Amino acid sequence: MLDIIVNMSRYIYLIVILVLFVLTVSERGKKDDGREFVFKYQQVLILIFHVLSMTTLTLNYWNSDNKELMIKVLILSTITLLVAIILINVLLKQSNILIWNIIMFFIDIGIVCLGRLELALCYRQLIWVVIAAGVAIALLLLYKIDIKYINLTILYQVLSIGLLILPFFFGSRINGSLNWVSIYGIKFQPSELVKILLVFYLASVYSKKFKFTNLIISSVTVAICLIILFVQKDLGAALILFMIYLFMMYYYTKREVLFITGLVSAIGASYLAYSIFGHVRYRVETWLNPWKYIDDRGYQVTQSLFAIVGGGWIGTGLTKGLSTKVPNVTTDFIFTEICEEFGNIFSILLIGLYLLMFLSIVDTALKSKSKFHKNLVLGLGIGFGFQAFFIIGGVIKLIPLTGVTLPFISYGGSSLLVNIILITLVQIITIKDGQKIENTR
Amino acid sequence: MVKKLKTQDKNIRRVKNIFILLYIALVVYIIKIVVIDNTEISINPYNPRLSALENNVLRGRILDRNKTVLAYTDENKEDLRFARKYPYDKVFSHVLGYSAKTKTGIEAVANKYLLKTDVFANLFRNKKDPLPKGMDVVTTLDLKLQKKAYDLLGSKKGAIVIMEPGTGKILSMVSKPDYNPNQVVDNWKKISNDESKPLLNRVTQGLYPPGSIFKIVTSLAFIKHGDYNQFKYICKGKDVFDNDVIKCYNQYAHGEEDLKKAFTVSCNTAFANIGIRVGGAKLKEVSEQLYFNKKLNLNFPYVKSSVEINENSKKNELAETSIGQGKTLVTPMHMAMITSAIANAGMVYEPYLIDSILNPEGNVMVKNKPKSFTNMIEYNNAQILKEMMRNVVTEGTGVGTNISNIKVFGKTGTAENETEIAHSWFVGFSDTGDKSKDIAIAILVINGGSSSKNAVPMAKRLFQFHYKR
Repeated sequence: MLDIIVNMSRYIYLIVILVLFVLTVSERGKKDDGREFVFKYQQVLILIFHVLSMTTLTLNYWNSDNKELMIKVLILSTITLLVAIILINVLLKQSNILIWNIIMFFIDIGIVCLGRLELALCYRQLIWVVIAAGVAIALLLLYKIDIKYINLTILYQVLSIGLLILPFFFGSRINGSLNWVSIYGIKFQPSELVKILLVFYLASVYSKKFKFTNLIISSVTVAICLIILFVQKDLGAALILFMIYLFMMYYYTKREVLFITGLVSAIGASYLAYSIFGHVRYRVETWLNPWKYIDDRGYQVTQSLFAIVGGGWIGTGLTKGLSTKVPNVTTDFIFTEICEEFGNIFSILLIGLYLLMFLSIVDTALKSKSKFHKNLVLGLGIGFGFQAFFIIGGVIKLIPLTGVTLPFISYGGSSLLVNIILITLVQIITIKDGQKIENTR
Repeated sequence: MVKKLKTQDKNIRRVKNIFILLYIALVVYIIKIVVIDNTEISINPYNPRLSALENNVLRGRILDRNKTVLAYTDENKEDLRFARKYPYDKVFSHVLGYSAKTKTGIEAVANKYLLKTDVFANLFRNKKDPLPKGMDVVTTLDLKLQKKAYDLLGSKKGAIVIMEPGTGKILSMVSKPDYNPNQVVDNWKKISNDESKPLLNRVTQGLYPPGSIFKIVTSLAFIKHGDYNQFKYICKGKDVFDNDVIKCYNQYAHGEEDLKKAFTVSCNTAFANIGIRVGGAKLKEVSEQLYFNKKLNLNFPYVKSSVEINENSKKNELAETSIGQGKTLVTPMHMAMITSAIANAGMVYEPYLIDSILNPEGNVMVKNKPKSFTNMIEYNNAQILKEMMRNVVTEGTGVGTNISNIKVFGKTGTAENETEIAHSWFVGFSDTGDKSKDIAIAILVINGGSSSKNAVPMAKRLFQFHYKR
């Protein structure tokens, strides 16, 4: 019985994501942010996905020790999803519902995958989802405070560097990078928070009129942060931060020359880093030929490739893949699990959805009237877009692994929380700008 | 104000486009992995999916050309990876190979088909249903002929390979010493440490001095680059080249010879002289024309035959090489291919073992057609060689293979080697007038002594057996 459901549902999941994708594409370009009933169709599709996958998982765990935990997960996830849909449709009409829908889909995919991989982690992630939702709601209630008051340049500068330095004093090394801090047993990554703070910082600096000194100071600040991150071996965060800086700086100065110079110097610096630093060379060599090192450093990415190829176009079906054998499959390599069990048509459309989400965020920046808002949204969007690109790229071996997580899907409370805050900020700005238009009519 | 917006627009559009390109790169790369790198990646032994797959599919059967089952999986066993059965025990050891954690022979080459199942059959399968079946592989092998070759080689060490020159189909491939594939897993330690190397497929991967069968090569070189028609030599039974003494068999003096006679009686001194006349450079060139030192493009593992002479070779090296001694080493497979060329007017067809792939219902899913490999020998030269090889059988060292109902052509060889006893060789083919019925064979009996002792009588019995049926 379970077998037949698993086999047939592969096709249903494909139809779900295909229609979701098509509807997103069609509504995205629309002036009035899309038609309400289309969003409701999307939510129905997400519910279909949720019900089908949860049924599969429940049947899977029915005769095992995990039965009770699975039922808890089933109830909590379904309630959370339903409540979220209701809240969005009732209270958040002025925000970009398209983006909320995509996020709910991503989070649900994440919960489903984690449920299949490690139920305990799934439950913890679910708790974080609820917490993050709570924080989002709090922020949305507070949005009436004009964001202009949060334009505190120097505060951001200090906070950023301060937070980054934390791991040096209180931190622990995980997986070779020193970027985790443990407070009362709760682990979080300051670098995630710092990413947002720096975006705020740059947004506020760049919202003022062009002054050369602004450019210099901001560049130096970013450089310091980059160096700290580099020393902590958090290359992924450093790369993303650099990209955010590069694009925001380009938007500020409008000079292609600077953009290209920045890019070229980054390439130069990378080459230098490669020649000087062992750990950089290590990662690049592993990326170029993981087959040579297949039983130690190349093990992760080669197992990932086996899984991706094993999924074919329509996947093995939920619970039938062997991705449990891929190291870190609940965090960095969760995309691999999706490729194997849901198939590569699904994973490709998922990549498409990440792209559409990025484009939507950038459109919000376009529509915004305030410079600060524009910069903020642009920076947050770039960070988001690159994070997804880096981790998917690393997992399929297009680029070396950078140890960042797949937003909303990977296991990771701090990452989930930060990304939800990020999107909530974008939504707040959307609402505010919508109001401004209303007010000027 | 509008202008400012427009430039902002342009910048943002650029940013968007950069991201679109980046994400398209991701998609294209995934497509590349799934479509192109697929086979190469998935058969890696580090891939746990392979053994999982093997326990979820009933591995297909391997059949001979008449659909007799040569290998199948016993579905009542616990671990299907070790449930392979070979009803003919040792008769097909090397050519079928074995299928345990590692795979060899046809089990390896056809692996992806043996484990391939029908997609639709699987869709509605329940866990309790019988396992889906893999595809069956129909080989080009002929059970009866293989058995005969196997029995003829008996307890001796050596190799026999039989091909159809007109198509490239391999009808029989026997290598001894051998092992029982039904026990290869249980007896692995003993078999893999056995000094006589029973796991080695001597047909495709054994290298041996060719002895006089190399005279085919020397003759071709002479025909192409010398006045072979005018060749006259008086054999005194032995001759000296740079302090190296070359003797004919039993030091028999063959007297006056032309090329045809020298070939027919396999005169060593004549050919040593021919070799020196032709010279190292030309001899090397013609050897390589015949695919010595070159890749044979077979889709099963093999090693290349090698010849090591060039324009700087010394007289004695040339003399030795021309009679198939010296540093020259050949595989029986390669010799069979050269023989096929002569049988087929110079054209060699790619040797192959897999004729077709059938689904469990018996429908043909894939059919391999004969593929021409290369025009190895010029038409006219092939005819000349063919004529000489006929003479060997009617009047020369190969008379032991002369049978009444079929025209047989051949060349014998007695190859000195590092042991006391020479290897016994015979290569040859039949010409029945019907191309589809002709066969080309190569027989090697390791330390079998002179060719007439072993290889020649074996060849006769093989031709008799094949054409009596």
